[in-house]
Parts: sequence; structure tokens; C-alpha cells
Amino acid sequence: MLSLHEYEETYLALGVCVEANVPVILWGPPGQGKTSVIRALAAKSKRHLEIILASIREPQDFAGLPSIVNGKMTLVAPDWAQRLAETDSGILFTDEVNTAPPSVQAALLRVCLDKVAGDCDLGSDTGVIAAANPPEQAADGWDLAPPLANRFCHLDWSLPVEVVRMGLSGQWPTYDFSKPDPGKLQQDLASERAVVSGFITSRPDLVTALPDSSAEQGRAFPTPRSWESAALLSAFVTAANLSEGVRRLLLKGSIGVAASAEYITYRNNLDLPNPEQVLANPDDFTLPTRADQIYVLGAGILNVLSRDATVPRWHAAGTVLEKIVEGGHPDMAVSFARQWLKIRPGNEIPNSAVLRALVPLLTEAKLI
Amino acid sequence: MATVDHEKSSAARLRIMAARILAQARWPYVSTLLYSLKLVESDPAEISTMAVDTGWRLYYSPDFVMSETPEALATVLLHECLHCMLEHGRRFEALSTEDKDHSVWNYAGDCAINQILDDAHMPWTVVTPVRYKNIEHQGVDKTMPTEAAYAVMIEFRRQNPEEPKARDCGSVSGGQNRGYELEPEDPNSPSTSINQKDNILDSVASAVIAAQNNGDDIPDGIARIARDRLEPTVNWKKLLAFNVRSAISNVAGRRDYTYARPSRRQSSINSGGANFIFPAMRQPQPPCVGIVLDTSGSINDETLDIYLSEIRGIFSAVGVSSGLWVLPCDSKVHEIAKIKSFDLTKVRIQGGGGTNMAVGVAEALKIRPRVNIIVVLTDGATPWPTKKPVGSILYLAVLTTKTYEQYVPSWMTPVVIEE
Repeated sequence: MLSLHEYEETYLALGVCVEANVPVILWGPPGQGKTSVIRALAAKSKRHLEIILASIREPQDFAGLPSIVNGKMTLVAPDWAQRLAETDSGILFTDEVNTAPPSVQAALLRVCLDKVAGDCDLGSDTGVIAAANPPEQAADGWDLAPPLANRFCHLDWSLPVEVVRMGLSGQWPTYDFSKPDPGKLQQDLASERAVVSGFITSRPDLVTALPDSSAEQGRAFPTPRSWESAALLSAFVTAANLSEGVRRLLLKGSIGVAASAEYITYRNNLDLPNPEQVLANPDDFTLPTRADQIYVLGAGILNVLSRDATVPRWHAAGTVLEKIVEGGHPDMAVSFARQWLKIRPGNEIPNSAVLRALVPLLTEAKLI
Repeated sequence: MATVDHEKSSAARLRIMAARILAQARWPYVSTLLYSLKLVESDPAEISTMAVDTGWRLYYSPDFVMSETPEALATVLLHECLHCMLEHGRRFEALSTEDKDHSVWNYAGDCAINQILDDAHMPWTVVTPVRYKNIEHQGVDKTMPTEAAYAVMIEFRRQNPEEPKARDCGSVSGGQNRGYELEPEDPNSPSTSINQKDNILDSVASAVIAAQNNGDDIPDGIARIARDRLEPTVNWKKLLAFNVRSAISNVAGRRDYTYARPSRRQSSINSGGANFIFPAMRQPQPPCVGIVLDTSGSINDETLDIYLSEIRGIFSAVGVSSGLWVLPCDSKVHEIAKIKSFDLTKVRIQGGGGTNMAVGVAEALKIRPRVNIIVVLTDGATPWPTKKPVGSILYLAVLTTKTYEQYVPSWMTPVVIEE
């Protein structure tokens, strides 16, 4: 069950997917107001909406009905496809995709990927939204085949008690954000792509990582395609000035939990100074404000120092420790200092400012 | 709330920082979380020991801090870190239960945390931590998730209103903000935002997994928290159900459309002058399934019964309710029975000595009409058939012990089940 705050973020994440035209799938038990929310989103952005129940459809409803005309076979598209093709940026919402038989799911694949139904081109501006009941909740549920699963951003959907309470009193909550400026979005997308390239260069094993367990393969996992949509969605969040929580949901939904957690950590530590540069010019550097960032930086500095512990570099690290003490984290400095003292070159004496900060704490902790 | 005793105040601060150094040395992977806790001295009249709020600010009573050794305080600090790592606040909120019961939830959470700390042999001195043995009489045992323990405790308290109130660890473990807490935007110690907390918890989990891959000794409880966060393990029932479903679709196909055969409606449609081509529906006979059950005694009856009923449930959910055969097998196969009339207690008497699932598989192949799927349920300590028997039959090896997974032949799909 989502909390009210998580519901708000999921709602916004759905909105981002719709705006950014990234196919999105909502996972949740029946009766959670998924259809009403999508109706509201479509109405808000004045887009034409087609709602289809995949489980009661046949493959020809998505792949087109084969028909022979003058000895040639054409795939005749159903009316909903023709309506979507005629309107600009319509939205196709297919409900209960995972209770549809495999051949229907296979037919859906091309609709979601290429926005083509039979011989009818829906237009690349068409948005695709799907909804599914988790297989363990649907009586004859199928898991999504990995190729179909990988095309979607996966969001878990359920209604918190508070939302139902508000809804019953006549006011279903809606959440809105202002559309980002297209120019800014392009800029943010370029920089987000650069970050993604940097990340996958350092973690090539995460470019494509099919989950071990077959059941997880029906959800989000990293592939070059899902990295692409992850970059777009994350750039959208930056451009639209949305919360980090929305970014987390979207990244998790596109590339899976493990890859997104690592990517977010990498992304957050990008603006930290380079440890080598800090050791070269310890006086010029300013301490990050957050304790966890200071820790990451300190650990990085000790790590590069341990590989090449010359006298000036060792003293430079000492200056950093002093700054950590001054920044109000003497205990963290002591934790680092214990490692720092172990890699002391020769019999160098730490400068007095560092010692002044360290001695009382080490004594109190009975470490000296 | 500021105390006039500056000397005591700075002594307490020094001690709690010393404790943090010791705590960091014990569990280096929690460093980013540990150092993110902002230290706030509080009035001993409001806080008798220590508490953390939802913004990860740590409130402490200087009297309490000075009464404890840095070693024991380090344990208390790690206790508070575990409240953060286990996300007790968010989980309490998700329960949508009555706010006044947060102290009961805190009690249940404390027991789970102190179990992890006890397993890691963390020292305590003045404070006696609450443990599962304190709530055993209420019907709680340590295998329960905290949510389940909470439900049991609430029910117990409803029937025994005289049960004493539990202590509180602050809003980090759930409930409304406490009176002593600072404003979220306090200039000296602003609260940590939800996203920042998530990022820190992610980095802690990554650090734990990195340390574990590095061969460091990680307490089980900590490793589990990290795995749950980064590599959520799929529930075995889900995994088993997935494999059964895909096995069934592979062997027999289920209700689906095919263009390989003409639709039955085709002739009537075409006679009307239209020239559309419709797919046919096909729904073959449901498959027959042989379940080879390891009754050699290495899995206890109760467990075996649970797994068996789970398997039966999964098959009936996908529409296979007949044609399910059970083959109790140790070193040889005993009486084969239909799953509906199968009685485990009768089988056990026959069992005894030796395990050979290869025999069970060979026997399952003799069943007529032929089986399409063979499920072997065993702990895994068994010889397997040396080569794949002839025929397009799907094999699932359901193992209760992960260690033996490597011995399963490549043509069988292994599913490891763990409780």
C-alpha cells in the first residue's frame, strides 16, 4: 500500500511519462482508480483517449485483421487505431495486458514500440499507457514477456486510505506540474545523457542486465533502450523542477531497483570535488554541506592517498581532516584519521591542529 | 531546554561522538547514515535516553549519555541507525493504524533490531534492551515480520489492558512528531529530506553488498536489509508459479489464438462475400503432471505439506486440477497416488533410508497417459538422472536448500524455495 506522499509522487511520475511519451505500465490490483486517473490526465492535456481491455481482445485487434483484396493481403486496423491515427498526440490505454493470451501480448508489442496497429500508423506522438494486475492476483495472469516489459516504465499503483477518504467526500485529489520549457528540456536531456554515458562507462555490466529470476524479467531491467528512456524521464524531472522522489520512481521503473540505486548515488556524487585535485590543492577546497557527501569525499581521498602516500599528499589529507573537524564533524575526522595514521609515510608528525581535534576524542573512545 | 551546565554538555557531546567513532569501526558500511544523524542535546525531563525523529536528528539526554560507556552508547547508536535502515516510520505509516499505538510498534521494531545487535554480540551496560523473550508471552516469535508481531501485540493488549506502556525511540519509528522535536527547518539542524534519506539508505545498502562481496563478515540481519533494498528477492511462491505457468504454456499451450488453422467461423464469414481471415482458437487438453516428492526425511512433514499444497494451488489456479500425480520417493518409489487422495502421513511410514530422485523421475515417465511436466520437490541432496530422458517433457527441480542448486542437471529448471 502506498502512503499519501508516495501516491502523489506516483501520480506525478505517471504524468511525466504521459508528457514525455514514454510507454508506462501501472501494476496494481483492480479497482484502484487507474482508469479515472488516466481519463483525468488526458482531459487535462486535452488529448484524445482510447481505452481498450486487452484481455477480451483478439490478436487481430492489435495486429490488424488479415484481409485479401485483389490477391494482396492487407492488415485492416480496427476503428480505435484509425481514430488515434487521425488525431494528434492521442493516448492509447490498454488495461489488463497481462491477462491477455500470449499471442495478443505479442501483437501489442508492435503497437507499443512502433505505434503501428496492422497497416495503420498511429503516429509517433501517440502515448501508450498499460495497466496490469500482478500475476499472483489475477486468476489466469501471465507474466509480461521480457521484450514487452522492457519497453515500459513500471509504476506500482494502489490507493492510500487518505485518498479514498478524500474521494468519498467528493474530492479525488489530483496533482499537477507545469510543463517544462522545450529548450531547457533539450539542454537537460543532453547533460543527463552525458551522465548516463559516464555511468555506464564505469559500470559496463549494467548496460544490459537481465534479472536472474524469471519472474523479475517481467518488470524493469536495464538495457540500452531502457537507459534511453531513463535519461529522458530524468531530464524531464530536472526540467520540470519535480521532486527527487519522482525521479527515483521513474528511474526505478525504467531500469530496475539495483541499477537505479547505483545510478542515483553516482549522479548525486558527481558534483563532489575530484579527490586527486583536492590532494593537489587542499587549501582551495570547500567542504560539501551534507555529512554523507563529506564522508564519500573523505573516503575517496583516503583511497587515492593509500595508492600513493607521499609526504606532501599525506599532509594534504591532514588539511582535509582539519577542515572536516572545523566543519563540525570531529568524530568523522577521527574515523578517517585512524586509517590515515596507518598509511603514514616514514615518521611524519601530523600537524598540531589535527592532533588537537583528535586526541580528546581518541581518549574518550579509549582508542589511545 | 538548553542546559546551564556547559561542562556536562560538552562532556556528553564528546562522549557521544566517541561512541559514534566506535560504532563506525564496528560497522563501517553504515558510516554515511551514522554521520548524517544530527546530534541535538535535549532536556532529560523529556527524553530519558535517546531518540531519533523522522528527519534523522538524534536527541539525547546528557545524563543518560554520561551514565553509559562509549562502547554501550555505540550499540545504542547502531540501534537508532537500524530504525532508519528498517524504515520503521514509513512502515508504520503504511499500516494506516491508530497513531496512539506507535509505542507498541516501536516495541516490536526494537525487538527485531536488538535481535540483530545480539547476533552481532554488541555490548549493553546500563540500558537493558527489550528482546523477543519479553513479548513471547504475547504470542510473538522472532521469525515474524515486525508488522505481524505488531498485530499480535495489539490484539494481546486489547485483551490485557494492564500491559505496561512501551518506551519510545522517537518519530523515526513511526507516529506523529514528538513535542521535543525541532522544527523541520531548524537553522542549525535541518531535517534530512525523504530523498536524501533514500539516497543514504541506498549507499549504505551498496556498501554492505560491496563489503560482503569483499568477503567481510556481515551480520545476517544487515545483509538481509541491504538485499531487500537493492536486490529484492522474489518470493518463492511467485517464482514457482511463474515457472509452472510458463511450463504449461510451453508443453501444451493454453487458450490462445493461432493462424496455423482456419477459424471455425471462417466459412460462414467468407460465404457472406467478405474476405477476412480469422484466427482459430485452440485449447489443448490440460497437461498431466508428475510430482516426485522426497520423503527420505531430510525435509520435515510440515514443510513438505506446505510446499505440496502450494504446488497444487498453483496448478489448479492455471486450470490443471486433474492429472496431478504424486510419487513419494526415497531410495525407491512408493505408492503413486492422485494428489487429491494423497496422504502424506501414510507415506512417511513407508519411507526410510537413502535418497534417489533419479528413480522417481524414471517412474514418473512410466505413468500413462504420459506426463508433460515433472516437478521434483527435494532438498537437493540426491543423485539426478545422468542424461535427459527422451521426450519433450519439462522438468522443474524445486529445492529447499540453495547449496545443492549447482548439482541440478542443466535441462531442469531449478526453483529454490526458502521460508
